[in-house]
Amino acid sequence: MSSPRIARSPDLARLQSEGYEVDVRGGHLVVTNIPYVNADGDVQRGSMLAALTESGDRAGKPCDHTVWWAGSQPCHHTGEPMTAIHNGAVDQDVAPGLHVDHRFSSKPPSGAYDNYHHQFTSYIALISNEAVALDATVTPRTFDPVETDPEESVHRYWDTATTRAGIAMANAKLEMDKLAVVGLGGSGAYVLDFVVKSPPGEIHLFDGDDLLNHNAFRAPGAVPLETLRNRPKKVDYYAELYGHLHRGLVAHPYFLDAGNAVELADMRFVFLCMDSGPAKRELIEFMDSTGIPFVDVGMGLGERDASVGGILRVTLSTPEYREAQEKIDFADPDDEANEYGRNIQVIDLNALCACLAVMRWKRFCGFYRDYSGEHTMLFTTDTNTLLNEDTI
Amino acid sequence: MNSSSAKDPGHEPHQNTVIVNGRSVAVTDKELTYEQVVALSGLPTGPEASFIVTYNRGHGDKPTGSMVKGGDPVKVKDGMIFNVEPTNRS
Repeated sequence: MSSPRIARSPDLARLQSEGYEVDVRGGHLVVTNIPYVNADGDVQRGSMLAALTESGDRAGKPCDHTVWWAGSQPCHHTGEPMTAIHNGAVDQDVAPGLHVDHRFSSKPPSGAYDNYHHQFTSYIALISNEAVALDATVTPRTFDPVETDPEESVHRYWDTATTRAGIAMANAKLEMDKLAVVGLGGSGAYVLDFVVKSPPGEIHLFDGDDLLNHNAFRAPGAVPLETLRNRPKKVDYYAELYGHLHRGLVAHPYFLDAGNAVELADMRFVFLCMDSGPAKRELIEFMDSTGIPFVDVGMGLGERDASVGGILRVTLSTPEYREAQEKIDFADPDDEANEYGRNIQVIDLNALCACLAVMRWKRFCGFYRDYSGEHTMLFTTDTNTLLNEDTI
Repeated sequence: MNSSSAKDPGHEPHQNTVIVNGRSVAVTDKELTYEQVVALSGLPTGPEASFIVTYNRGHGDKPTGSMVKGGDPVKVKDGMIFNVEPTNRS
């Protein structure tokens, strides 16, 4: 799904940043929860709509100077109807599910509104000022969340963080229809936490493990005790949790290997966050042969004299450059772990692996400026040093 | 380990102390290879094992870096810090 028109259109983004409840659905701009005065002199809430024109990839100019109104006829604070702007009562749907009751018409001095921000703020001020005269606490700039139309956004409520920061153009570089996170241990779960707040449309989660007590101590957020008692699959737990924000999570409660690696075939990018072993080698061979770029993360930690230390590795492998794969370890860690006590992972280091992995993906896509071009990152904990290697 | 003083029996070979995975180790070699550093770590090795080796506080021209199998040895400096890990957990 491409980025919302709100993010791409400066006038719509500005309306949203100013706290109006902006939505796009059915080809219309809809601003809801606008306070007005009805004929009984009561403060009510109504919605304003206008057909949304297109100019390239963003909203164009308003097609005319009129707007639609869903609500009863707005009045002055005295209860007298606002006849100057009223253009007639209607009773129609301007789009499926979008019912309107009135039409307003008021030309600005210049004869036409410059953009949707100019048009809507002008009409909204005329109507809401009457309500504010009766109740100074009401405002159309509520900053309340708006539930999105699935056609318009992969997120259930708008990413207003991106519009407020004005970085929609950079954010658009992260648009891709399908992405996979393989392995939902500590690193994979934090990768998911970050990626779910970005544009990718579908995020596929692959892991056959149950979520157990010890996993909760390397997971983002806090897992409720009752949830642990139900022993969910990790992918099901995370799909439900992050489903509050993102519509496109797909849980695959099984492991990937050569036999089913083809399920990665349509992925535009893959985050490999799994323990090493033969399956990892098989998945990498599949992605090499099918031209899929991926990031692989791995950590090794040991304890000595009651202190922990070790190395985190983040490897980027793309069709243009696969050589950094040489540094990936394929020995199964559990073959030796019990005997040598090297089964250590720590949540903040899982999160750091995930941060570095997601940042590397974003540099690869061009969201972040990149003069490094490294394909291997090595972080050594006891000297707090980050090495960049395999640069091209 | 090589002893560089076979011809001068009264003189102790110069020892440097390096740290490998948090453990101090005395070395007399002037240079260490990847394989030697891995051996100093005491980690189990096997046919599939592949270690990342990083160093810090080495000599001035390149005090920080990593070592690879078959790559160049590093000059030993007293107090140099090595880390050796299979980065295989996620």
